[in-house]
Amino acid sequence: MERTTGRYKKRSQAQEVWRRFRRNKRAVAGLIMLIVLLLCAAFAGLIAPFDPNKQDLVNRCAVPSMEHWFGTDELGRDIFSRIIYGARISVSVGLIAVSISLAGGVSLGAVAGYYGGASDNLIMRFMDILLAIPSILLNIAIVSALGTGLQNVMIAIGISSIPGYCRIVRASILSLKEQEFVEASRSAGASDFFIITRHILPNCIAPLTVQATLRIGSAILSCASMSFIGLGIVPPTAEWGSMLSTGRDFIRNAPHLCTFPGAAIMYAIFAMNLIGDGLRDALDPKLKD
Amino acid sequence: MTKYILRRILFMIPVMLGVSLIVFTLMYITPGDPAAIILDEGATPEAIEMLREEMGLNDGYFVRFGRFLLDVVVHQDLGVCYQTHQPVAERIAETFPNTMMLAGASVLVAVVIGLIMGIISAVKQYSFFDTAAMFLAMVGNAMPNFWQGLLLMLLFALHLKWLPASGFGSLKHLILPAVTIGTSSAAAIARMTRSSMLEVIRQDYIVSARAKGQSEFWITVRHALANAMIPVITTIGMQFGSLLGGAVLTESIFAVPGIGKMMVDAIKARNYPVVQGGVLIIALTFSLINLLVDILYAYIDPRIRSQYR
Amino acid sequence: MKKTLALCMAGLMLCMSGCGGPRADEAQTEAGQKAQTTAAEAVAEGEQASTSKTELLVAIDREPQALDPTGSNHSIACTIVAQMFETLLKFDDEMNVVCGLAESVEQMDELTLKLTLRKGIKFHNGDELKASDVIFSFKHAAETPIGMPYTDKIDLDALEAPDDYTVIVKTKEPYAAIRQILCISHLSIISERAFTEMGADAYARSPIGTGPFCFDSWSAGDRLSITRNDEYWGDKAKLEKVTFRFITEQTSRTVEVESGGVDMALVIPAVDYERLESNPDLELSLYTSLYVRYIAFNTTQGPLKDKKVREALNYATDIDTICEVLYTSKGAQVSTGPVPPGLMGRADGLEPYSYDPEKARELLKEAGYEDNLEVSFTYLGNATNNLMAQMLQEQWAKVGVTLTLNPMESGALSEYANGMKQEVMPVRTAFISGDIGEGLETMYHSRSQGTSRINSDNPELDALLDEAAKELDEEKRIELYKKAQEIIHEESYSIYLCYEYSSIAHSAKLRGLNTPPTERVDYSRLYFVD
Repeated sequence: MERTTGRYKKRSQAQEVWRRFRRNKRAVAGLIMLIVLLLCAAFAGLIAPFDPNKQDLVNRCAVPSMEHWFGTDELGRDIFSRIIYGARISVSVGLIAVSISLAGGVSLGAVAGYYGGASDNLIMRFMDILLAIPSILLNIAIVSALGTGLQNVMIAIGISSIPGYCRIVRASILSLKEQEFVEASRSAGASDFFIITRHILPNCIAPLTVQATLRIGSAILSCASMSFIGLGIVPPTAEWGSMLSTGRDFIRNAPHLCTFPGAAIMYAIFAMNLIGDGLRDALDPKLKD
Repeated sequence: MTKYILRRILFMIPVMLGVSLIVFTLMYITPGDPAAIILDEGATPEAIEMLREEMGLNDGYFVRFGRFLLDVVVHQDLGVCYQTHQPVAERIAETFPNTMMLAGASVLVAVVIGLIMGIISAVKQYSFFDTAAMFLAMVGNAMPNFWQGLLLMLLFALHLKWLPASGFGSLKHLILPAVTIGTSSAAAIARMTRSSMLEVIRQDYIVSARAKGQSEFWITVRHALANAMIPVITTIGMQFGSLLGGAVLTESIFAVPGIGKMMVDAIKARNYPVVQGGVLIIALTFSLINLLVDILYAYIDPRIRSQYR
Repeated sequence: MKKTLALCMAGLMLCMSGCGGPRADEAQTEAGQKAQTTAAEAVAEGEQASTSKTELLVAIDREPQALDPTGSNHSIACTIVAQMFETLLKFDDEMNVVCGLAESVEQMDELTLKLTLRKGIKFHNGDELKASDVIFSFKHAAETPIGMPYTDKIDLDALEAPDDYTVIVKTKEPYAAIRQILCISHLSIISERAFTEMGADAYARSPIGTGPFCFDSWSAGDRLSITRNDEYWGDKAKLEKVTFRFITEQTSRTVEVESGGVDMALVIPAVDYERLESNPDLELSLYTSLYVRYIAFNTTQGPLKDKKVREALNYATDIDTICEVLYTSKGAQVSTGPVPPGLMGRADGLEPYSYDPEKARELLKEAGYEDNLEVSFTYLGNATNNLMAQMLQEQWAKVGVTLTLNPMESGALSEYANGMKQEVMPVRTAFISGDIGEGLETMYHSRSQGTSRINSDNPELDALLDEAAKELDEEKRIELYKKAQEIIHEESYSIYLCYEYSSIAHSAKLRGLNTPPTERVDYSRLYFVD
């Protein structure tokens, strides 16, 4: 957000957004939740009492106790430690998947909107095609093609949510392209790249941020779905989705194998949704979509 | 308007072609051999080769895609399921209505929950009810579908014995899966209802209706809700996609014979005809639903209608 | 009930002696068959009177593939096929070969079998079973990729039908297990007329056989029903209808049988055993199957070519713990050799590899690896395998072996493994023909490279297996197989894990369940009591 021309004006704009965001209790709660999550991810090694992958086959599926706060899993590993370490994976899944779709969506959308004509047609029809295939099926197909593994899951989730960003960017470019300040810049000899990055994209930041924040939550959820289908991460990596999906076989005998990873996933999504909603209201009270 | 609809439908043809091409290409580059999967472990290389030849898997990319197109366009034939030898069209005709029924029921659940929660929070803005309603809606959204489904099944089928645990066929069978899927979309609808109602409530005509002494309930339903519907309908339309996604997992949990589970199994088994046919039908439905949503807008909001020429 | 079962057994024994021996005696066979029939009728009359429920609902773990006998290799599909189709010979519950559609079998010379068909057997479409159907069935099987491996020992050109009720089957070479092969559901007899009229695809969807049940309906992804064949030549089924529901999610399957949504569920996960056993409304039967689970070393890959490395990994693996975690003590029996118990020719005295990390380290050192051996574990990414993989990873790390995990989805895995690209891989194989030779060949013969996951190439072993397959003298044959097993064990081709039990949970009111190792439950014997 630091890129717009007119530093002073922009700073006050950011301050205004922050002021509105701060007044929203839910949004602040979400922000605090997110900070806790990030701290867990960053200092997992310090917080977690056990090695997340250390098995203890004698103590399998132990219920929560003073020693193991969240109990142990089907191989006797400490669930609390695994959840703390899992924060890393989930945070990176969310961030990387969303970055992929942001990068893809923004560049494609910018090209389509700015140049119009054949490239617009081509790109937008391609987006229509991607949109017409349900994202979960697209995810499965892409991961099948690339092979199982966290990296490929992130790529798949990233690709399948490109169209959303692409549409946002294209729509705002179409509405901005003909405005005076763009015309002025163009007649002053600015390159297309300069115009897009300096004048147009900053104006899409509001909807993009909201979309990105909300998508982080659904990326984490998609990752859990992929684990359920058997295309998730490679064990023994502690990842909430795969912990939950492995735990489901034990749901009758040891429900805590599901409860804690499930709660962790919900926690992360909650945080992102609260922030996303808060941002939406703060960035533009009129903004709907 | 008719012209607009026709043009949209015409546009679907290249999109469907593109969908076929992309899915075909994805499946083509995906490692895995359907013949080896059909024959399972212990199959001899000769047997696999024999089946590959029989299935035409040894042909090149263009030959196979061409053959697929030819079959679909000219012969209106989607092929035969590699696994069960059922014509794909027949298989889709059996499973697709189940998924649509499930999706419909889920939309219903989502809309009912979403509208109620949204209205409560808008009318009682910043109260305890507002927070509680929004919290509940978000829980439904944040809870992974398969976990929620299993918990519901354990509670309502096993312990309370109110509902059947799995399967399809009656209204009772529909409830648990529809709730599982519907709750994950309710949050979006609730949020949209809330914010658009909040906006409408402050408008002059509501104020004047209130000044005229109309009952609060009537104002909420007749004026506020009706005018807040457009963004809500958009959301419902957009949620349909994620409903189908949710259906994939939920169908597995509740053993619903739907197209979602069929597609996942087909991708895993490299059951190309089913994957191709299924994706085509799903994509077509998607596009048609989007069109329907757009048409619906036009009827609700005359301002939008004037744009469609 | 026990008494009647015993009677049944006696009948089967008699029948077996008629059919199974090299020189069949027709009179004896018939006597045996009669004894069996009367015994079974006694059962039927004794208890059926009190039965009200005649429809059985079964939850199975997957939708079957085609219902043509040569349509699928999956156990459940074969079991359903076995309700609608019959083979010339068949296994009794103890895996002895008894008569099926053939009322007698005679060994003419070391290559030739003469089979006499029962007269008056009708297909579900009303046609009578003729020798020509038998020949058609075998030739059809030979043309299908699934049937082919079972017909490759039969000389198809020499198949002959001197009259409508006699079939001459010749093998290309002397083949000791030919009778067992004739029991395999893939060689069930199909109706020539129905098959040619309907075409392969339609026949696979609504098959016509001679069995105690007829095909009824099949709704995609949901369920499949079979109904009683009232014209059946033998003991008619006691149930009127059996419906199989496809429920992939294991928790859902157990919940269904516990909540009474289905009467019976197959493939029960080990975590549920205790709860189901303590449920008075349900019965859980766990029975020995022909499935063996082992961890195969691909002997064509890098360090695994070295026998010392394979031995070391055997010593480094705590099999007892792995089996306990995966199956509990109830779900499987820890393996003591490559062949499941109960098969003729199984070597019993093999000295198992103990869990001895010290020894493993030593052997690795001798082979030139000290904390620097890295191997990959390729497996189908399901819950059980994931657990196994993670335990192995931890156990092998203790002897300095780095195990990288390579979970794959089913689609990609078979192609990958057929190309012999994997290193270590968990395998589940069945001695499905009930003959030790068939199974050992698919696992350890060099002919099976690309099929077996071991891909061994051991001329001595090949020669033994080939010789044994041709050996008609039973004692000599057993001796050869024992020697083969010793070599297999000594070469340390795999880590034997366990002999897996099959599991069925069913309503306590359901009776008559037989649990043969082949998993081919005979649904025609099931009935309900009140």
